[in-house]
Amino acid sequence: MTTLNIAAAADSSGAPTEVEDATTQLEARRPNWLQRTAANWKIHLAQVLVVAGILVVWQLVDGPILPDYLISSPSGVAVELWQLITGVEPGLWVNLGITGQELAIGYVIGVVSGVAGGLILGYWRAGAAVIGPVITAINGIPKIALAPLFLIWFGIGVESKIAIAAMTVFFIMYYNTFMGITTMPTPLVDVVRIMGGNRSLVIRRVVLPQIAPSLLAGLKSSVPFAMIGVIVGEFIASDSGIGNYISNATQNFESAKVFAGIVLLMILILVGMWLVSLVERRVLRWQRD
Amino acid sequence: MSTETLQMRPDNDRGLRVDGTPAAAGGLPVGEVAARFENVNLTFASKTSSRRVHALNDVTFDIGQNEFIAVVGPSGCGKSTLLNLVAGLMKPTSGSIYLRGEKVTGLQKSIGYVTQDSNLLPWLTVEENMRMPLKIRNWPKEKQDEEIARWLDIVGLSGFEKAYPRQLSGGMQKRCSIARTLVYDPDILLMDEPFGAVDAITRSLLQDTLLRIWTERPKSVLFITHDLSEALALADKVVIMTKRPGRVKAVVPVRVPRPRDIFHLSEDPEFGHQQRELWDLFTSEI
Repeated sequence: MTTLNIAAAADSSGAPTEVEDATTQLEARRPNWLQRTAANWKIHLAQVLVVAGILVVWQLVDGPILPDYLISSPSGVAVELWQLITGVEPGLWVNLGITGQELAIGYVIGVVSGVAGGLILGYWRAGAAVIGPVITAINGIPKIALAPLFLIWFGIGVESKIAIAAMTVFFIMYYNTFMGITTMPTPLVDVVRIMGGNRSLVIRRVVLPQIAPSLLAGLKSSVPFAMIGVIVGEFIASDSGIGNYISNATQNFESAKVFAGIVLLMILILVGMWLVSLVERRVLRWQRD
Repeated sequence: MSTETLQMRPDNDRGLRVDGTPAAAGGLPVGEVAARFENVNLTFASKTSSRRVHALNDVTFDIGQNEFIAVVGPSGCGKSTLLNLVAGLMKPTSGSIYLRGEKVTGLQKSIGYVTQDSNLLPWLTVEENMRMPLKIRNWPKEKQDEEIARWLDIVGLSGFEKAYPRQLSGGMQKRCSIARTLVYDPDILLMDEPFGAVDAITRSLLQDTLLRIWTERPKSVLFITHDLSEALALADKVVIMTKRPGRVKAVVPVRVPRPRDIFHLSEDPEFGHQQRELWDLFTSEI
């Protein structure tokens, strides 16, 4: 009974105006959002025009100005892609599958190990003091210089490419996690620990969400880096994959095939980025309007 | 009458209480003490100069079992530091803090701490924020739901279960933060100017709510405020701190009888009387 009185009293003071505030804010946002879409539409049109312009110039330059074996042409690349898709020229799905697999597995291993490493050293400061400089030193080596070693260790198959991609991603995610933890403000952690939360709960429910922006930045920049690792590996030694396809085409001066391979890589990257953006939307849903 | 009920301490702070027991030993047997500050000193490195800041100077006082203690003092006197010491977030430079008879050596995990900022988890809804301490305690789901609904009702946030903190006003966030702490019914409650940021009417309502809760489910409360009237309205005893380095200037038992009617307290002659006394003590420190 007492609680009812209090609630009623509280309702008659602060709460109603706050409710109104909240709803007016929501309504005020909608036109903004519409305006933004309209502006986006114009930007998208301009983007399409720019790309179309580049393609037209490319098509015109091919032949009269530059020889076809150097730059091919948009139509030539389109024909090549069509032959790959229809299976006139074999191997598209196998190559795409192999490279996609190397990319995905390497990426996931790199992310998991990088985040774990960053968490461990983020908490274990003595360990960070000892191992941190070693990690920094190794990170200073261009990863591509290590790629041949990975081929010796893991062979010519998918494993070596997975390892190279994982290593590249590991360093990115390690640094993003470590920096996130060491620069994180502590009050929220303290509050949850005082209410009884153990370390595992604090990490899952406070630390990871709090460093999410830094982790997501790492996840995004890791996608193209993982791709570099995979393709460099395939260039050095491989029997299949898009990198292998591009490498073979290059040796035969088949530039249409090279460009077709690059288009396929772009598609893989876009799919990867799109998957990461799905994760991002899910993780940051509390920030959305 | 006034001077003998005021437990004035001489400046060296090693003197006796009015009842004759040594101050350092506290006024209560250990079993009845919820928390105790014993000759607590705190200095820390200044952020702006090379000199060390002397924050607390030989602070000694007790919080009895189920006693409501309010601490008032000029800003910057180290009031909030007292709470961080009890919670184990900071260590004293010398002296000891005891909680339920045991010396505080690390972070305390079974107390309630309403911090000055709301400190709600921004990625959880109001309801999820309140559920967290209950999940930690493995309460049955029905009991969780029941208590969350009850507390949302008490603090006037019913209907905002699914809102994220940033969608709430500052006052609502504050109320949610209080509810999140009280929902798990801690026996020791630390409150750091909990009603400082809310409007006057809401403040009175929240004070009234807090008193009702405290009467219903007694707890030991250490309540930091800069508002003398608030301290008098709520507390059993008011601890007055000096300006930095913070020292206990006086521990004043509040004579305003309970139950107290927050909304008509200013009409109580004893309230006016004591407010004047405290104000005189307090102004000599500003």
